[in-house]
Amino acid sequence: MKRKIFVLALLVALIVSAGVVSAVELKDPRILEIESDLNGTVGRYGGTMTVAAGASGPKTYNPHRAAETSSTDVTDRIFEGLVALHRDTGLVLPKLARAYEISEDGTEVTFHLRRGVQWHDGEEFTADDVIFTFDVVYDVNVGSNSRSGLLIDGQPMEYEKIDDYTVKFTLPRPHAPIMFSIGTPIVPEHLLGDAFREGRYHEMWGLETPVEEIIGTGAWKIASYRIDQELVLVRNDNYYEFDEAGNRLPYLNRVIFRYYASTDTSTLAFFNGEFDYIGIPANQYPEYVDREPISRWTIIEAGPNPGTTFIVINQNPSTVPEPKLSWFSDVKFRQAIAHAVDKETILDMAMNGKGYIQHSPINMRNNFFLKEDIKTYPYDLDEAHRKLEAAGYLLGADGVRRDPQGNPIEFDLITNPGVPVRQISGELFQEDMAALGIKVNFQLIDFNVVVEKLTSTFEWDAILIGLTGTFDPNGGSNTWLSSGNLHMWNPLQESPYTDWEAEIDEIWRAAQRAMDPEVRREYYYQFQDIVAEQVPLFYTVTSENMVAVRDHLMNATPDLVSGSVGSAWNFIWIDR
Amino acid sequence: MARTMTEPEKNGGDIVYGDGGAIRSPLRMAWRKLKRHKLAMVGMWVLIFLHLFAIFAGFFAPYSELTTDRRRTNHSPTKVHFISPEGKLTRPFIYGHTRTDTLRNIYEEDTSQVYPIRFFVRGDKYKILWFETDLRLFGVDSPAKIYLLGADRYGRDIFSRLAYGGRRSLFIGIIGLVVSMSIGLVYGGISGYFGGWVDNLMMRVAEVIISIPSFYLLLALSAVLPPSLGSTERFIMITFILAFIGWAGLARVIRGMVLSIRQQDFVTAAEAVGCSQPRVIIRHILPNTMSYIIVNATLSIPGFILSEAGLSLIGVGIQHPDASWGNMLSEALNLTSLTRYPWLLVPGFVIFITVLSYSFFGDGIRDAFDPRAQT
Repeated sequence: MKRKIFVLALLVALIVSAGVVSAVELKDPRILEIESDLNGTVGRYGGTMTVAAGASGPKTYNPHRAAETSSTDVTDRIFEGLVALHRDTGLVLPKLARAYEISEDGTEVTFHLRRGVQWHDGEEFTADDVIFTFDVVYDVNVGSNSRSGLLIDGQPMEYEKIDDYTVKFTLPRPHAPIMFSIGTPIVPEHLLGDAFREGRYHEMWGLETPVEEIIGTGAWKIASYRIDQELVLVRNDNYYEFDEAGNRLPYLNRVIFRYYASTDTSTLAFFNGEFDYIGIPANQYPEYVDREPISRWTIIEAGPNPGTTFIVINQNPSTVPEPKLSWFSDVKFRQAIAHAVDKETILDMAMNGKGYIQHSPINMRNNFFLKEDIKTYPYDLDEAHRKLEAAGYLLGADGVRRDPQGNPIEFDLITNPGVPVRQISGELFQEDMAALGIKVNFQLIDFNVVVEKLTSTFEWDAILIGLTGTFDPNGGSNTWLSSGNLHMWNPLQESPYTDWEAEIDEIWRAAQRAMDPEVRREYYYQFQDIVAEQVPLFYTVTSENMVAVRDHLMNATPDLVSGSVGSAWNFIWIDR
Repeated sequence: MARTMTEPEKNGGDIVYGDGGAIRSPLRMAWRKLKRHKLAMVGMWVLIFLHLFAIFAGFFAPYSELTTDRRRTNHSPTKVHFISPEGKLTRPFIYGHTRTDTLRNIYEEDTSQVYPIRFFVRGDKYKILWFETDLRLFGVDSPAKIYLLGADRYGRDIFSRLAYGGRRSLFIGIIGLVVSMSIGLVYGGISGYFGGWVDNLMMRVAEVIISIPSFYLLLALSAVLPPSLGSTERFIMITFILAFIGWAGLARVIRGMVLSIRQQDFVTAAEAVGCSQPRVIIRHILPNTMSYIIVNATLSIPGFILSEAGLSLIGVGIQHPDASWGNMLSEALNLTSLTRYPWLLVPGFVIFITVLSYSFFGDGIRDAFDPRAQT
């Protein structure tokens, strides 16, 4: 039932975003219906919630300089966009905009801003701030993470202020996914405008800035930050949202981020009662499940993790030497060794069986676009052996497999240390490849070095790594378009190098133009079939998203879009 | 008790004369004293046992270090039974196991399947010196597996991996020591013998090496090893890296000893009869540092073993799937392993025993060679 609603809601979302004459307006934009939206209850004021974060805190408070989740976890609380995604449906909802309209041809989007929204310093939020923010995002020197998502065929949108509370965007062509990226955080023109015009925007609001000078419109303000130890957020007393009983949100007085060096320490800290909820690492699940009956917290299972883990093989003609290049760019070779990834065992060893086997690049939470009946490569070394033999990669009497020219097949596989699932996948793959007569040198290398190889030197054979998932498939543009910077096996191509890459480019662009979500889905289905046939990546597994939440924390339910509790912060209250 | 000529065999056949004091070589005297040192003897026997266990790993271990079993992840140690279900004493046997809880990896004995432990069985092939054989001390019939000390995440036998890992972990210490000793002796000897500006220059270089924080240097050096390096080459490289760090401290002490020894008459005498300088250093001076070197050697082996374990633990030493005690221990580096699979800590325990044994043994050796400790 829930899934059905979810799909329906998604359809609505896509219709809305695709621009079939539509307008979205909240009944009373300030009132949030907690009971229906969140399945929660109207709360009571007060209290402090403590949450665990990763090993390090924010590197900057500037939302358009923030590049890593440790920074955006904080800036997303302080700054808001014109629209936000509904936490359970992925529906595009107005946020700082009260309503928006999309023209019939899909090239014009008009936002009507909320009136009376105040920045934390009391200044009023107006259309000038929106115009300023998009000036900032589109400025190459700022280096905002939102920039690439807001370009359409490399072109920026045009945007103009109609009046103080209306902004109109004009798109070069209809682009269905634009609504998923247009909610970039709005920053105050009255505080940052001068710096931007002087070309100093990228220097602003780093960690050296006193925290009371960081001004946004969000429900939270920074109260203090001890670097990599503790960050305290306090309630914005003038936040513009109310619950259905007329109480101003949020309910909590303070939220404290604590930083823990490893998941082991954060798990132990959670058992000691140091903070209120935690995302459970799949490999530690037994610890939690055994303690749950005797503890005052509950485990909530929230579906597959949106991220992916995979092995990618380098097909870059300018950096991969022969004969490796001929093996790697031979689709028969890739299809054969795709059978050598033992996904069941990876799931069992790395995640205690709490996870899902992946076959497709589409986010597993997004059932609407996920194609079920695609070609898969089940673990089968005999099948791998048959396919390799058939393709001319013959196993010699000495146990070494050679290509048709007689070169022994051997390559390096690298990944970063500290992620059990990657280490386990790599070691199993190495062993299985050895059984096939192929020598794989598996090594753990510092994450930054791996990323550098992947994105700038391009000198590697195979990499085992993961990507975080976006809800909408178009978030994968930088990976799947042949011109993308994360088109890992052969990035930044000027024109598609192979036929299938050209085909994906075409399908991908057609999907962006498609107004009808059903049509758009057809394109993504085709895309998934091509990827399954060409296997540039060998997908492995993704973990179950599990959260342990203390029983006194009310309304703290994971959302359906990402499986995290974070999106419920404004409604969370403490019942003592 | 005074000894007399009448019972020479009682003191090991040494020549006894006059008031009964025996003339014994220094080594012999040291050995006698060492034998009286209980802890040192215990340490020595433990070390001999461990080294034999490692050298003949293929024979003692029921499986090869690379044999995995994906359906037996984190298998608990197998209980060896001596009493049959009927209550009679029988030859040792084990029961087959089934995994009853896949989440917590709990394996329970299935008493319907009985597998006697067989001795001198044919198992995985291995090489010993130049011979290839498949004779192993013990084993059980498949599909059962015997895990005396449990299995790791990949279902590999920890007992077998301890044996194979010992080859690397123990011998990295000895080989590393030999290399660093040779460098240290020659370097210190030359520096001390020539003195003057040569000494000055050489000692400053040694001090530079000493002053680099050694573990960071180790880390840096191991991080640059290429991934395609075979396991043997990698082992050799790591040994040399460890030796490269270790020699400078030794060189400095040797140089101090040489400085004082070369003032003595017999050196002057050797020079006077026209011995060449290398000959004087090697034949006349360095042998006089021998007792110090022997003591230093036994006491510094644990340092090498610990460094290798540290490097492998953090993933830059011996690489998986090859076993070393350090990288085996790295599997126990998380909460779940510590609480649920405590047998993963066994390599740590073995490292502990080894280091302790070397310390006891080294202590005994030091007392044995110390002339002032003579009673």
